[in-house]
Formats: sequence, C-alpha cells, structure tokens
Amino acid sequence: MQQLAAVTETSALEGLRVLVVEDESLVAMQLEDMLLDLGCAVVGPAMRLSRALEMAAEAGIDIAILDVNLGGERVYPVAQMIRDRKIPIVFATGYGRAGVDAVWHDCPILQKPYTENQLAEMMGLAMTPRTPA
Amino acid sequence: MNRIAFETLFAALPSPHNILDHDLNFVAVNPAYEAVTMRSADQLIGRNMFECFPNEGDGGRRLRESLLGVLSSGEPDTIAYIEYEIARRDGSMERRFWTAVHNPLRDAEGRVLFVLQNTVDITELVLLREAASVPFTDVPSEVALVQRALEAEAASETNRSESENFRRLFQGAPGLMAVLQGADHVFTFANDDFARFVGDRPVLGLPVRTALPGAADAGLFESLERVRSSGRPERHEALPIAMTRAGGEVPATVYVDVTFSPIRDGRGEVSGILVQGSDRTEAVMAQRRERLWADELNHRVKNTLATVQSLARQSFTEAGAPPQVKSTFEGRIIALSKAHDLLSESHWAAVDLAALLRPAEATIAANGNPPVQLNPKAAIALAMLFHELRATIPADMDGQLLGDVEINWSRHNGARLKIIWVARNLPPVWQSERKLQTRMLKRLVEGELDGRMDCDEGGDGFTCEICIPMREVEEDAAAGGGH
Repeated sequence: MQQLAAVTETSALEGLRVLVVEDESLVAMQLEDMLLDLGCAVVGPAMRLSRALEMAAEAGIDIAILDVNLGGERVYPVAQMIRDRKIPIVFATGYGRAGVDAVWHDCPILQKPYTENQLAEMMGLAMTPRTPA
Repeated sequence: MNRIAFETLFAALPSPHNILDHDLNFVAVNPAYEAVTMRSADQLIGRNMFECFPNEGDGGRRLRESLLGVLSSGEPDTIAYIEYEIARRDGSMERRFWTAVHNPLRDAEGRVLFVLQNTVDITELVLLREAASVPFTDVPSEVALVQRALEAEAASETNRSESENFRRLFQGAPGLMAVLQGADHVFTFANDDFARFVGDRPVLGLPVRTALPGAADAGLFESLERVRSSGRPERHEALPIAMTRAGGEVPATVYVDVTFSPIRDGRGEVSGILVQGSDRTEAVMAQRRERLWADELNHRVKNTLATVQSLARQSFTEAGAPPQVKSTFEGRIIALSKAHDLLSESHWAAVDLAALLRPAEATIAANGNPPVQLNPKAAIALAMLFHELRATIPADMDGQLLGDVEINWSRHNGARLKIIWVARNLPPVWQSERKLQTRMLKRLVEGELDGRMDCDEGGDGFTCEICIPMREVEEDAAAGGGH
C-alpha cells in the first residue's frame, strides 16, 4: 500500500508527551524515532519495571505506550497506575491481542512489528474519548 | 450388676430383630428392624408378617416354613440367603437379600411361645457376589467370609477358581482397570496400575464417590449413572481429575482416557461397570509445554522482526534514504509478520489461500474461487507475492485499493494452481512511480515454488498470471517444505 498521505490526523498527536516502556533497546529506539516523526515528546524509555513504576507515578505524560513483557515481568502494575491517573494507554506486544490480559482489552493493542501509521492510528484511538454505548 | 432392662437391650441391638407369635404376628420389633424395613413399630405390631411383607414366591415359602418349624420343633433354624422384596415408601418394590436366624423363645415350662427373628440385609454383599460372575472380581475379606457362606447355598467352586485365574491375569495387566458394582458403584476390583494411578489409596469395597472425590468435577459420576441406567458404554478423552498421588499432599490434576462399559448379570441387567483407562497426564503435559514453547517462539520471532525493522530504519536514516525506502521495507516486514501470524494460528499446519488477502481484496475475490489449503512454505511465499502485487497498487487511507482489481484462482486438472491478479484504471501516480518488482516475484514463484509467472504491465494497470504445481502448494507437501 502506498503512503499517499499521512494516515491519522497526526496533528492531533503533535506535542503529546508519551511515556515509552519497552525492554528491548532497538525496538525502543525505533518507537522513539516514530514518535519524534509524529511530533511527540518522548518520556523514557523505561526499560525495567521499577523505573517504569517511578515514571508512571510521577512523570508528566499525556499517553503511555507499554510493552507487555519486561524481561519476564508483566507491565500491568504500571498500566494500573497510569489508568488510575486517567491517562490513555496503548499496549505493544509480539503476541498481539492474545498477549494482553482480557481486562485490558479496551486499550488499543499494537502487534509488533508495527509501522508508524499503525502507531499513529492506535494512539489516535486511545486519545479519542470513548462515548458510552 | 444392675438388673438388665431387656427391653432396653432389645432396643439397643444394632442388628434388626423381631419377635413373632404362633400366628406369625409381630409382638415386638427393635429400631434397627424398623429402619431396615422402612416401617414403624405401630405399623407392624399385632399384624401378620406376611400381610406386612407379602411374598408369594419361593422366598416367602421358605421363610414361612422355617418360622413354623422353629415354633413347632423348638429347634433354631437359619436361612443363609433369601431373596425378599420390600416396598419402598413410594410404593415401588425393592429387591433385597437377607440372612435370617430364627430362635425359639420358651416359657418357664419349656413351651415355645415366640420365635425371635434376626435378619441381616445382605443386599450389597449379594450384589458383590454377582460381581463374581465377572471373571476378575476381588472383594474385601469380610465380604469374602459371607460370600463363602452364600456359596454353600448354591455356588460352584469351579467358577470361583476360574475367576481367580482371570483375576490374576488382569491384576498385572497394563492399563487402568477396575470393576464397580451396585448403585453406589462400589469398587470390587482394581488392578495394580489402577492402584498406582490413584496413589495406592484403598478403594476396594468403597463407593466411587468416597474413594475418588476428586473425580466429581470431571462429571464421571454422572457418566457412571448414565452407563448404569442406559446400558451403553461411554468414553472420555484426556479428562482432567484432581487427585492426590502417593507421597503428594496437594491434589494435582491428572488426565485420563477412560471407558465405562456395562457389566450384565445372568438376567441381562446392568449389575456393574467395567472401567478401563490409560493415564494421559504425561502426554497432555508434553502437549502443553510444546504449545507454550511454540507461543514463546512466535513471540520471539515477532520481537526479532521488530528489531530488524528498527535496525533497517536506523540504517536508512543514517544513509539519508528517501522515506519511501523505509515504508517499502516496513511493508515487507509486516507482510512477513502477518503470514507468520496465520501460520502460528493454524499451528503451522495449513493456511487457506483466501486468508492471505486483505479484507477489501477478499471481497473482490469472493466469487467462485475454490478453497485451497496452503502448506507453510507456499503460504509465506504467496503472502509475500500478494504483498508485492498490492504494494504496486495505490490505496487510500483506509487501505481501499484505487482502481479496478480482480483476483481469481482455480485448479487446473487438480495438478496446478492458477492465480490471476488484474489491476486496471489505476491512478496516474501508478504510471509515474510504481512498477512491478518482478525480480523478487519471479524468484518466489519460479524458484521457490517451481511455477511460472507472466506479467503484462502497460497502460493503466497490469495483469499477473501465476501457475504453480499443486504438489508445491498443498498441505501434504508440508513435510518437504521449509528446509
């Protein structure tokens, strides 16, 4: 498929402060680059659960992108803190939807590997306030 | 010593007793007798035994003769084994078996005034004995004692020794084997493998619910009831059961394949159930580990693809490559990743050709294309091929292809798979920017799949015709694929 136009209204993502939690350097680096391309400010990346918990508690962020598996530990405690702060979350995992606990299935899920467009789309989805059914 | 209150003693006797006069009317009954006959003393005393418990058959005749004999002769008599139906509270009749001991009660002058009857309900034991008709019956020793007494009534020793031989044969046989008898499914036989399987706990003589409480959740008891009432065997595969093994303290889940087959007595009624099974725990666990391992491997592959994508991105940026290079590369990596998803969903067995298409393309291709199951090698090759074809067709933001696209495939004489992609009325951007990258396509089709590809590019679109031998594509070829 051709990249004829920027997919989601990336302008909506510009200036967002994004918490990146990802334990693999290269994947984290790429995510950082994509976010910078989209005009976002990167907070992190946090590559360990302990650091991620600190950042989730304190950092000034607008959205979080969370790898599910951090060196064998699950990212859910981090996700819970962020959800408690009412900040939107996107999960990124090699397992896809099946790799995320069902209680978090209302968050957008990115399957690795993903493109910048897919990232923007999922972030847009997370940032859209859900209308009650 | 206190003077014994004989009424108290009579009432306290744990075994059922009654006292009859010369007319065989009840004079006294103890609570144990009330319980076993399901009648109260009020319903019995003053009434004739055979009015209360009519029996026109052989059992009734033998009972009456014995009682009258004791009253007239003054000699005690015993009936070791008598079949005697009694009415349940709901009025239906229940077939029961008894042992009856009759003793005369005399007055000071030695005249026989009454007969004392002690009856023991031996129904369970008789049913166990019926299990002796099954060749491999084992019974607890106390049952065996009574059984020998019963056998003195009628049985043949020959059957018994044959039964012993069969029992020994099955005792050491491989596989789980047990025999359940009666309405409560009492264990009357369990071979060595079965005993090991249940952790060497005692099961013989116990109802299955008492012996194996962990089988409750698996629905086995209900299954036994069904087999008993319907007379039809039931089979269960890889059934999970919570079981405390020998030496273990916490119940662990074990898995069994098990068959329940009805055992019929001489009248053709289901008297018991033969349990045959095999312990599948190891196999089920191995299968689980394999599954986990495959999931983990799949996850690793995804992360590796993401890492490769990241490396390429860094390299392209450092080299100042145009953004399109990056997106072309990413598109290919993602196509590979999606094909991988399909294969891992099907556990690397077979993937439907239509599943390789995007939803928008599947709609186009919906009519009349036969189902084709692809082996993993062909699935990956065709996924990449389709990706390259679609990548040349401009699309809008939602992935809708811009232009008229037709996708068709068919089997030719069952020997070849023919796929045709046609794209027409493509927007001008196609003519200026994109051309089919035929080198990679040709390598995939002609090299890897031993097929043939003809591409006709020109004007406002292209036609691509691909012909692949079926043997390269279909599931059976999987054994040779991927190496």
